[in-house]
Amino acid sequence: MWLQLGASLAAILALGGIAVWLKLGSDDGIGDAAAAIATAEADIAGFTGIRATIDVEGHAALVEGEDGSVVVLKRAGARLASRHLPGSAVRRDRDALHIATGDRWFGDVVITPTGALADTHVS
Amino acid sequence: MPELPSPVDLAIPAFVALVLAEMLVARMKDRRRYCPRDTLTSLGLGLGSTVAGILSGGLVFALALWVHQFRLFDIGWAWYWFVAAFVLDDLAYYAFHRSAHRVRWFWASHVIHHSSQHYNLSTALRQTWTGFVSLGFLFRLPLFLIGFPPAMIFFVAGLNLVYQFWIHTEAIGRMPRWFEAVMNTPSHHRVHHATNARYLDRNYAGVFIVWDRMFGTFERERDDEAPRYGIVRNLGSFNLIWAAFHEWVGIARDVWAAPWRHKLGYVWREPGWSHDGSRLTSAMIRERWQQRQEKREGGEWTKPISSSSEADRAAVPPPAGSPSAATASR
Repeated sequence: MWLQLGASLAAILALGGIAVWLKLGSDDGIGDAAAAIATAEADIAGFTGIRATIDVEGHAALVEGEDGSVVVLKRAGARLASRHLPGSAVRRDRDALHIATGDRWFGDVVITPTGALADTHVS
Repeated sequence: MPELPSPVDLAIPAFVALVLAEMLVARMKDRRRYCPRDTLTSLGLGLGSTVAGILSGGLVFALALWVHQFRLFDIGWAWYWFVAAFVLDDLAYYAFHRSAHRVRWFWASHVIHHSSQHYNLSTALRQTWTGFVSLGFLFRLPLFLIGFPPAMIFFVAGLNLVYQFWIHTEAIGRMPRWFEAVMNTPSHHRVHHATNARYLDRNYAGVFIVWDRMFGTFERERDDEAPRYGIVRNLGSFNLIWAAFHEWVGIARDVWAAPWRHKLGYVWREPGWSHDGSRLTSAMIRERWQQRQEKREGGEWTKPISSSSEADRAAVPPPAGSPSAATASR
């Protein structure tokens, strides 16, 4: 039994190493605002996005909905994960949007926009 | 009683070799099919599941032997009984699997397998650590009561699990038509792992897709709608412990916070159910998607979807029934 578990662990680490070595995964960003809105609408049933703010590094985005709620997107490996939140979860300062997701494991998200922050309508 | 091998143990070297081969295919065709952190999480969960199985396997086998003493028939070891056991065990698997998506207690254990946003052979190995706690083994007890020897059932269950490995891939498109009609295939199972509203809670089959066709839960994979994999509320984390236990934590929190008369609802109702309608079940998600489709087809999709859409921009998303609610737990 211990031999089997040891061999399995070794195989796991080897496969993980090979995945890194083969450069599997993706560094692609979220894309443009339209792509962010499409992702948010696909993830959240009934959500209609009207505007999106993309982080300068392309790894996170905030999509504002027509009902005042927001969807925050963030890269999770080679995919995007999202959270649907009330507009009040977003705090803005001079340079960035700070989104408190209330989910310790998802984490809070900071978005430094590519354009002027004034373009966003969240509080 | 013959000494039967463990099909899963024997297949492990092939699992490793095929994951490696699929990685090489991904390197050539689409690197996004794999993500190293996701792969490590899946394989780590698979290893943990093996350990959990070793710890609880003796108890499950003892329970099976105990039930078997009340059997209705004495079923022997002829080859055709293995065939019958395989088919009936697959039916029992269908019942278990459907329940695993429709009852939150069972879902809390099964969600681990669906928590990857990728669909590759490593996802097949992303298995639960809490199968014993969730009582999934109860679904096989009728087979022992009928009279199938426990060792025979666990053997064919192992074969069933080995079969299900190869269908977790995007590297295979469609199998021949006759095969797709009878057997579970990569195409059918991609639908099962998808969170698209159209595909949610469909194709529960293990080996034979005929169960889904018979019981009205079959959905064909469409060329015009690629599956999006994962769960409705994706984790956004590669933490092994959180992946293994997050839904159990969610149940505990909900039961704690709910009014007394609704507490059990958070255990036995479907995932996404809430006593105040503030979350979305898969049926509600599908309904909203259908409404949106109808509006788009009617050319009205650009209009506000609710008269209260602009009422309170800072409010928490309102409860079900309003299109803006979306605090689904899965």
